[in-house]
Amino acid sequence: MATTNNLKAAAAEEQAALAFPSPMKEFWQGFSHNRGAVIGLVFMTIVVFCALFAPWVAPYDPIEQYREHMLTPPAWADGGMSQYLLGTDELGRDILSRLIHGARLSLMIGLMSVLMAMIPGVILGLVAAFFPRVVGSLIMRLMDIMMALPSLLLAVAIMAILGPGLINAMIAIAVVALPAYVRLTRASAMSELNRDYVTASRVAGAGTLRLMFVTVLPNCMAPLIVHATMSFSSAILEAAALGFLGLGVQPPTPEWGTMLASARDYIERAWWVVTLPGLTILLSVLAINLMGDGLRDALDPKLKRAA
Amino acid sequence: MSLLDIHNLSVHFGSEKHPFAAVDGLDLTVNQGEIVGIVGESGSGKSVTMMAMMGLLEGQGRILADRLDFDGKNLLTISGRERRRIVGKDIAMIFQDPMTSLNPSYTVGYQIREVLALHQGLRGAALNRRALELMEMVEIPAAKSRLEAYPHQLSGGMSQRVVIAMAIACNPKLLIADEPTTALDVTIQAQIMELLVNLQQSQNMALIMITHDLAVVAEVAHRVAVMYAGQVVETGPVEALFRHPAHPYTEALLASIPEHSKGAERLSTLPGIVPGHYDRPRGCLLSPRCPYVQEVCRADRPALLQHGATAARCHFPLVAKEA
Amino acid sequence: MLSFILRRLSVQIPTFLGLTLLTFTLIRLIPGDPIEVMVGERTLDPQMHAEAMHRLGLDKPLYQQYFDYLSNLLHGDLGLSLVTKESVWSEFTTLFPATLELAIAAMLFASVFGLLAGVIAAIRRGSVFDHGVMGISLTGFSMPIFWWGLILIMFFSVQLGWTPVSGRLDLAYDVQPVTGFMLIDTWLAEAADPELNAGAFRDALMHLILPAVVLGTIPLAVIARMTRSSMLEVLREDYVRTARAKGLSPARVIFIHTLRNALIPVLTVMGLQIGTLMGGAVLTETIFSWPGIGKWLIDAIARRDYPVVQNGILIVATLVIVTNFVVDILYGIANPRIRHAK
Ligand SMILES: Nc1ncnc2c1ncn2[C@@H]1O[C@H](COP(=O)(O)OP(=O)(O)O)[C@@H](O)[C@H]1O
Ligand SMILES: [Mg+2]
Repeated sequence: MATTNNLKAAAAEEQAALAFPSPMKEFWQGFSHNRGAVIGLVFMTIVVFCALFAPWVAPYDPIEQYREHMLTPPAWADGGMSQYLLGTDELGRDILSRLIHGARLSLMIGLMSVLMAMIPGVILGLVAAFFPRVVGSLIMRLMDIMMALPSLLLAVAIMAILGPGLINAMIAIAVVALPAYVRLTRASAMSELNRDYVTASRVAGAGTLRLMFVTVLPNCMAPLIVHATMSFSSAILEAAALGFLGLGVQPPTPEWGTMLASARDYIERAWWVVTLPGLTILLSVLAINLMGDGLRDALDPKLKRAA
Repeated sequence: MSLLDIHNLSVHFGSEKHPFAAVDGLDLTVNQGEIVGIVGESGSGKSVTMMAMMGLLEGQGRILADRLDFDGKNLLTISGRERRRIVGKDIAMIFQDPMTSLNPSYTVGYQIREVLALHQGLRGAALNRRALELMEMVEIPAAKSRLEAYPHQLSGGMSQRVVIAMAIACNPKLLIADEPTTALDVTIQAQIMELLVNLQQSQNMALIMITHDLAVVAEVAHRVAVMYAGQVVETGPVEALFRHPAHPYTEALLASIPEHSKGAERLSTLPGIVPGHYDRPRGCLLSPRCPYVQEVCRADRPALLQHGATAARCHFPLVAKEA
Repeated sequence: MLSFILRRLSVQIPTFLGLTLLTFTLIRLIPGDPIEVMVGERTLDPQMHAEAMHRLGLDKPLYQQYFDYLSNLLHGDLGLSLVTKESVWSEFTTLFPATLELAIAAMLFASVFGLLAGVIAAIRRGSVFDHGVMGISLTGFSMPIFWWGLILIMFFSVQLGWTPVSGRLDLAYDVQPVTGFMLIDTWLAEAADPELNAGAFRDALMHLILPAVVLGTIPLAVIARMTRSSMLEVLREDYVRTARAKGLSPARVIFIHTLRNALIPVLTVMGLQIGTLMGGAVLTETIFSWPGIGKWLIDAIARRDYPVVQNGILIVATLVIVTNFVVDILYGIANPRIRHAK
């Protein structure tokens, strides 16, 4: 198997010598090579579609209570009703609609907290790499301290200060994710700094800012992108955990974790209330992680070996 | 009877559908107490041959042979357990890079004692004594304290001596040295080589010396085998082969040694490159590069036949022409 | 060796100081008046307010407050819970064994199965088993463990009735806390009075299984993946080939020469899992009503019991630092190259 691929790769390489494939095409070849990654991508495309068009895709309003149909099982189960495909929860809300709207929240929390962690994280990491003596070691010490706190505990502590809510959850998750970005950026920037092209650029008179963002940063992007995917999935997990603990997004907002907060009471009576939101979380996170693996393979073969 | 007798050995890598032969119909014999040099460009299958013989390929390659006998035992058919009783005891091997050949987590002493305990059942004081003796045999200074050292605390030359000590621990009948000095400083190379030859004599082992260095082979070996793209293209006694190479490849190799090329009007290097795994020519493997190539060379692969003092895989051996 | 330990220790001291600064600031970041926050939203008369500020040292300059906080910590004074009026430290010490027992069980579960799966997957690279291990471990890694806990309860406790739903021990038993480890305490109790406490140990064990599995799931996944890739890396090393060339048995090659070296990065990862474990304990203990420090902290947050939140977090973080430190030292022992490094 591996060698047939090698063969194909070798054949492809020969052609490549004649016509360089565009970076996008090359990337896609690497990515689509990983079957899991493609499955993840397909699943996430569906989730993103649902999130974007939730009001049109979802059959019902996610907070509308149909009291006469409380705890209706999914359509295929005994006692299910075809109009509530995945059944209803304890207040008679349509679970499918809640899951579809929940996708919006989870993706938004994930995206926002990744951005809120990545941008300052990259800047701090670059600063730490360029000024390693005082500022750099100060930053890294601070990050060490933040790393010493278990991430969920830190998020919980921040939520304890800020109080529950959507925005606060994003902030807490972003803060928790920050140190990893700083470390990663610093490490890759440090290794790039010794390269000749940086010296060349420095000799050519590039300023520090230019060196940081134009010369060095683009060459640190591959690991950062891979890490961003992984931190996106852990952000979704953490948001759900905060919601489950009652510290995140508050009911009746249909957040996946929040939906599970009260589910414990229905373990004996309504398996679908317990099973479906968690399954959605699991599948989404799994899909993103699969994509992350594919990205890693596609972006940098060196990273694959390092992991 | 030869100590080691390999006939028509092939080792295939790659998938079932697209196999390639890293070793392709190789013949080699080694007699008791003899030094056989194997030379050839890197990638010509020297290491793979030795690994296949010792059973170190671990299912990575598919091994085929008409005969693969060591000391009267068929290495192809014996069980793994029987093989492990021979390997490390009667056949031992020294690898190219001494810095990575020792396990970083254990002391040098531990790694030497491990072989002794396994194959000779030594325990306690006898075990320690023998380990120390071996360290002294390979001329490691301060041997006693070095036994407690970790590999990273030793230089490359010292590490290679330890590897040699481990290899000769059970008085092997055959020692394989696979480019034992390539990774070392030039100044150390001669010392290690001398050590190996001295040990070969004092222990009366057979020694297979794989090397790039033709000068070394000329100096120490009794017989030589020249490998090219997975085959032995020429083999014979060292003097005859160096004086009258039958195969154009051997000739070119010799010509690349400075003193040989002096005044030589023939090409000192061959044009072209070694054929890749999947584009081996149908006929003689050297045919695309050979200056004397004929039609038959491209169509038929020559067998290894005796031509004068050496045996060569060539339709038009040089000795015959010169004669 | 000693100098190695001291060197590593000196790195940890600033981290710990920074941590105290963090928890000190934490409380001051809570919006609103500290006294009002503490006594609830009632309005106090200014006189009592000022007195309370003075009593708590909140009228002093900030740096002074910080030094007071530090010196209190050094004297082992971690404050009182606003709710129970118990000292935070004594609450912690009563509850900690429960979390430790759970964490040890989880880590044991994760290490044994993770190492086993990783080693076998690496040896049988590309086999069905290998693909299975990789698939399952990626799933485990993506698992929302609070949901996983609910699913396991639903299946094993509700459907099959094999395991109890929550807590550490059935209420029918009255076992004296000696060590705080329920398995040991019930063992002792059964030994002391086999009649009265018959089955207590088994009951404690049954209570422990599901929470340990839930808490151990992510570490299991991480350890399995890490072991596999680390084993594959080491199996390619020259010294493994040397070991085989010595004629050593496959078992010896794998366990003595490969695993020993492959374990080094796995050990680091296991150390890092301690943090994940403490975070996971918050969720696991909530699901299984396990009376440990995870649940304690969440309850404290819900009750706005700030001294408990502040110093509870400090203790847990310190624990994580200490464990990582110990792992670091073990790492040095396992890896002579590091131990001898300058
Ligand atoms: N485990 C392996 N899998 C696939 N190909 C291999 C393997 N080991 C060696 N080869 C290939 O076999 C050929 C011969 O290698 P080797 O015997 O190491 O050459 P050398 O003569 O330099 O020792 C090389 O082209 C190498 O790529
Ligand atoms: Mg070689």
